[in-house]
Amino acid sequence: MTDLELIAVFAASWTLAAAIWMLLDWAARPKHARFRPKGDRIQRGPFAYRHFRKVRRAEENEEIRLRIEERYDRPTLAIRKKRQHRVLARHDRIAGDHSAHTVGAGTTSDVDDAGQTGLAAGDQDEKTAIYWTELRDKAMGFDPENQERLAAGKAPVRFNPVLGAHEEMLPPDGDNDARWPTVAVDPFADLEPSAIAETDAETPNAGENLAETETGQSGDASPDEHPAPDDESESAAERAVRHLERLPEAG
Amino acid sequence: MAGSRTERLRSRRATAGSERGSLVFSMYRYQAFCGDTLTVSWVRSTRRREQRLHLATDQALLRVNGIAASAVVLRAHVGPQHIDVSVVSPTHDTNRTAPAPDGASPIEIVLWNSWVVEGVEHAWVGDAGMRLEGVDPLRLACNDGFADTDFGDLIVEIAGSSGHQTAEENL
Repeated sequence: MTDLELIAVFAASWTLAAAIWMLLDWAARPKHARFRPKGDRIQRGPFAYRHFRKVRRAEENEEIRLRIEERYDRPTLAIRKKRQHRVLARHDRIAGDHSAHTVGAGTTSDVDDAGQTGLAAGDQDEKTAIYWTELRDKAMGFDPENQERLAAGKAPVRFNPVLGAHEEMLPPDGDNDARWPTVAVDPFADLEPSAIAETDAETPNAGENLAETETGQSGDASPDEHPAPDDESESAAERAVRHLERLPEAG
Repeated sequence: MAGSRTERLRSRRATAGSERGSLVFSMYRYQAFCGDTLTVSWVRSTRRREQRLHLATDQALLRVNGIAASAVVLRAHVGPQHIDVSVVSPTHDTNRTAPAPDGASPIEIVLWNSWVVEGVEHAWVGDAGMRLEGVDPLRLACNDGFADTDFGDLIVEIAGSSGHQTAEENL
């Protein structure tokens, strides 16, 4: 092999190596290798619905829903690409259809399509922003995060354990003051709070019971009888979420 | 532990926790059956802020004072000291108290406390929580978000005619 041929082979091999390197680098870029949960991919085939049904059944578990929301900032993995513009958790969808028979409904209208709770910037009335700022000065017991939000002119946020989702406080609208979303009915709405003397009466043993509980006794319940299996439930929920992520793609 | 009680529970993704040998809940799941009647008794409530108790379920209707709804709120300073809450099946006539054909299925009623500050009702913020002080009848001592260790803001007792409350299933 002549010197010229040797140089040509050397250059060609390095050119090929550089091309392979660039190809691997392109393939490994986050844009092309973005992780997408199984439920986020387009499902095709006759068994596509079976996959979504399986995911939805698993997401009826509150712990799993919380895990998914914590990880993906949305309450469900079972979404179709064509409905990505509006993601609703199953319980939120039911709450929106039956407003008179729901538990603490009213969150879907206050939460954006991605399931987040007003963290993204939105069109906010300047008057409302000033109201939130003034609300911060009132001693309402908001935690530091909500106090920061109020100082920034944003509505406070809380986690609703009944729904398993965050919700924003509704701004005042004419007749109503600012309030958290609720559909609870007050069966004694017509009564005035004038029966304080009656309802505030203590039972004869109320003081003793309080004294007993303050020393650590909690009546019939004891830590040994009702241990809080937080660790066990957490690992089970985590395993369930990992299983949902590994579900084989249908079709 | 850092953070408020509600933050600690939320960070653990739990609705109950153990504090100083007692169980504290952000919400309590009470199991009852159609046709049951729960008696909510106000044991104690602070006068600093209006205290309220919420009962909600999505499997039946709760009838109080002639009004049936899936979620009701009872104010501690208003109404009688002992309030009867009837669990009614939504598939039946709301004026009846007869159990539904599937009355053997337990119905989960969620309980939580709230309070009013400056005309705004709050719940699940700050150090709010309900400490379990008794199972039969159910006795809950509630904290209204202020002062971590004060569970005397609202104390209620709930006695069911034939309900089945299970503290274990709340964990």
